Amino acid sequence: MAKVLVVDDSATVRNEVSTFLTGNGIQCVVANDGQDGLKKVQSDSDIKLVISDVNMPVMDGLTMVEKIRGELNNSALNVIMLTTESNPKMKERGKSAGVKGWIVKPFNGDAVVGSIKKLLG
Amino acid sequence: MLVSIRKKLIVKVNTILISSFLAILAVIVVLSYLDSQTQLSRVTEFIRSSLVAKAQTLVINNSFALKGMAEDNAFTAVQELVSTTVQRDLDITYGIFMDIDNVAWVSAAANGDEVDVTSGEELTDENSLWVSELEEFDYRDVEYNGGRVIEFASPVIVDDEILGFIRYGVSTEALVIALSEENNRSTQLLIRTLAILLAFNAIAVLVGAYLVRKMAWGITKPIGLLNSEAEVIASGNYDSKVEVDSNDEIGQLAVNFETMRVVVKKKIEDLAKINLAGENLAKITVQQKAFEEVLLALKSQCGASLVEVILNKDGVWSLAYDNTGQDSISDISKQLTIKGEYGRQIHFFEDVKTELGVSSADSTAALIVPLKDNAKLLGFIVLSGSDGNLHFNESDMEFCQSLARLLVITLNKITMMEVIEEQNRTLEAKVEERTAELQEKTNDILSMMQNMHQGLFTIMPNENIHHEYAAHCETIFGTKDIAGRNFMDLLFKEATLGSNELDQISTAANALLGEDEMMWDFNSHLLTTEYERVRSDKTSQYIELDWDPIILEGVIDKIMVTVRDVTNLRALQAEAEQQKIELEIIGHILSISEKDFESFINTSFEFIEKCEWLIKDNKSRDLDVVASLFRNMHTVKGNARTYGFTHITDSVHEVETTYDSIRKDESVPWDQEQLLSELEQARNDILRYQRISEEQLGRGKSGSNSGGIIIDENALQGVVNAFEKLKSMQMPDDVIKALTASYKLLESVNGRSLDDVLENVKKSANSISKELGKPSPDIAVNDGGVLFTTKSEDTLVNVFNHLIRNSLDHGLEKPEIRESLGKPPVGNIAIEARTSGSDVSLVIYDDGKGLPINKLRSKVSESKGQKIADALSVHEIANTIFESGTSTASEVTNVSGRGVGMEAVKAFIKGVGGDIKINLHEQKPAEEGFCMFEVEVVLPRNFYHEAPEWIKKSA
Repeated sequence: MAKVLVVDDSATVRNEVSTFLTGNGIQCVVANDGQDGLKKVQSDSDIKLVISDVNMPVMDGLTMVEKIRGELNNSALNVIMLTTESNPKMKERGKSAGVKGWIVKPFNGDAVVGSIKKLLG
Repeated sequence: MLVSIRKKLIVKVNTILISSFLAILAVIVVLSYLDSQTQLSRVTEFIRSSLVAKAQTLVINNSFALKGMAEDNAFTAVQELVSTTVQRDLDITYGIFMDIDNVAWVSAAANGDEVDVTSGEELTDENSLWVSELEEFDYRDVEYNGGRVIEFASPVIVDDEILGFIRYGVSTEALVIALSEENNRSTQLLIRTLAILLAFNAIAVLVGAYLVRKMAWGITKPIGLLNSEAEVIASGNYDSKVEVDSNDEIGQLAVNFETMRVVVKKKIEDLAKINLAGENLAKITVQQKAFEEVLLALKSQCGASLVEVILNKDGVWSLAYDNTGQDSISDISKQLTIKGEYGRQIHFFEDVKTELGVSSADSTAALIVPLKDNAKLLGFIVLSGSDGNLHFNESDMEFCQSLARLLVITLNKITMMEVIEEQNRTLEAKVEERTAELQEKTNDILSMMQNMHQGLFTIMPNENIHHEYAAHCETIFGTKDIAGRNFMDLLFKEATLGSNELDQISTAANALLGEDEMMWDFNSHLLTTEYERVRSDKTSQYIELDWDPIILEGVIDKIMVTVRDVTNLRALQAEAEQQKIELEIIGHILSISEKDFESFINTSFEFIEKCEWLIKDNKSRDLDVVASLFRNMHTVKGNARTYGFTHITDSVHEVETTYDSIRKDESVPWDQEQLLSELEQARNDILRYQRISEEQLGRGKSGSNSGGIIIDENALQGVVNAFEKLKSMQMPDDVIKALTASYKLLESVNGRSLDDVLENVKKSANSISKELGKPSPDIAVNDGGVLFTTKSEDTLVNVFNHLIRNSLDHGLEKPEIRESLGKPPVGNIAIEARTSGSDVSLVIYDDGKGLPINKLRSKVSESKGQKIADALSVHEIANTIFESGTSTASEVTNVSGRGVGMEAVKAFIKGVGGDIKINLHEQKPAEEGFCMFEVEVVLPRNFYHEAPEWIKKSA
């Protein structure tokens, strides 16, 4: 079954997002940082969508996306960035890394369940 | 590399000539040589045979001569004979006689003129041995002194005894010399013959070469001429005539060449004409002009006095063009259309009279050129004239065909152009129409943008505002600096929003613009929809915003923002809200007595004042103080709740909660300022009640009443009771009338008829019926002269709302069912008020299907068991509808059917001291399992005023 990978160094955000998604019948796995996320993506082919923070220790979110595309050679995986800031420079980097879009925090669950389910197929 | 035919001819013929002479020469030489050799050998053979014959004779003679000499051993005689013989004959080289023992008696050799004789030696040479074996004459070739000789030998036999051998060597030298002479002679002869032959040869070759050269020249000269003519033609000049005077094949070739030149020249001229016609036709867009052009070319080629174009239009032959302007088809053409098959190919009629049966003075000949589009015959061209001015030959065939093809192509092109032009015109018209529509729409939009009374603009990907925006934006924001400005700057520069919220809006917009449309779902909730703005004059402005994405190919291209200035609306809303609250408060105040209200206000203020002092006196938390604060506010809250003063309870409850949390939770701080401010809010809420009581109701202020009086209910009741006592008194009618009027006036202050009370209920019955898809019922209310007290109105409304709803939903059938049962389509509901003793009964019944007794019984049986159910009377079963969970409706509707209704109604009525029950009308006809019934509501005396009997009578 298709899963969502939630990558955030903040346990609060991880819990909030994953609890919400699980409550709406969407399976979830979590990762603490980009490095962790990259490993999970590599090992779990059920992950069909990644919702990731940008600023994280060890490896930031955008670097993770770039590595998913580059090292893992996975161009099909949908990635949505969860962020508090969005500027043209970041957007540009995200676009070239194939980021599907940006969710600005705070995460408003109700509006996005349908879209997330659509992305999971 | 070009090698001329002449050169080739000369070289070839000369080569043949010379080589044949050489071959003949060689044959002659070989034959001469062979002949001389044969001659030589024959001569050699002849000489040799005559030599042999001579020598044989000599030797045999000698052998006879020697017989006696040898017998006599006449040694000298033998020597004499032999040497003489050698000496005499020049041909004899040597002569030998040897005895049987091979001892030479004589061995004479010719040595020039001398004869050298030796004897006495035994001969042992090979030749001598060969001789010693002979028994008769023989000869053979031998070597002698380096030359060749023939040795002739014969034994000398006497009486069969060989006494010796005579031997002579005859030289062949003379023979050889003779032969060599002969050979030389014949060789010389051969050389001479060859020399003569060579001389003849040379002469013959020279003469031959000359003749060959001359002949080659004669042959190649016309070819050269023809070649140079061909070069001229090849260079593109077809005008120079080919003239070669030769009676052979070359001459013929030249004639053909000239014919070809003429034909090619004509074809080229034809081609030029066709090209010119083609060029002209390409520019022509009108059919008539195309005909003119083609016919002009045809006329120039073939002559003709009359030209016509006949076209077949939908099976009818019609004249499309002619050069006479007669507008009628000529006889020739008529005849051609009748004999349709002539139109299939180009045909020249040399004599139209015999071939077509048309006689005309001007036109004796006619040329018909069909116009074909692939296999389809469109029509034909007719050229006619007298034999003199109309001419046609095979070489004109292609020209005419080409022109006909050109004309067909041009006609098709013109047709096509007309179609295209028509389409273009349609297209242009459509484009114009669309442009106009677009212009109109644009104008409309611009006009809307100019005149709409709300702000509207779009945010471009760079977060700036698009230059086309609704003019009202300028009014709202008080600036003309809008186009191209950053939307955050325009919208929120003077906003009272916090920086965090502003940052969220800006970030969200950034995360939306240019991104997947899905992002709208994720982020649009961050875009604020209302905010306050402080204008330059320090006044507040309230703005409402709508944000909508403009999607282009799945991507948010722009964001459309609708801006409304809701400042005035807000003010009105606030005012309306205020008024609503005030009205509610008025209701609250009026619901209790003035005295109670005053006492509530006074005590409340006292408690609040106490609290205020307690808070002010204590800089830190003191549990006793908090406890007393809590108690005070709890009392205020309790009082407010008792009276239903909901606009006080909220704030008081809040204060009480704060005190409670301070009391229970040490971590809650003792914040004097905060506490006082909360208390102030509560005080204000109470003050509002007091203010409304004074200002709106004029209470608490003497002399402020106007327009009416307040009648105490008890006092009124007293007056009403007093009327009761008057009934035994005899009074004049006038008095009764006055009293009745007075009574009614008083009653009307405090009571209303059932009809009036249920007016709204009846209205709502109509809308419920509509909801149920049934017509509005006729509701007949018989108030029985009973006036209900104001207090009872709510109860009546609640109860009858419910009962009527039940009746509409479960009782009255749909009109079609009603009609099938013989009932009027519109249902009837009757409500009657009846007084009995101290109570009033209100009865409601309808002409629906009645109560489902059987169903109710099975319900009871389900819940309590068959036995109990069977034991109950019909009346008791009917009254189970007041028990919990009894609804027989198989379908839960919006209106009723959840099985709690009647139970609640009963509980409610019991609560006000009344009762409710079902009375069955078993005598009325009803469906199987159903029973007609009425619901009787009994209300206590305090619900109504009943007019005294005497007043009722007089009324």
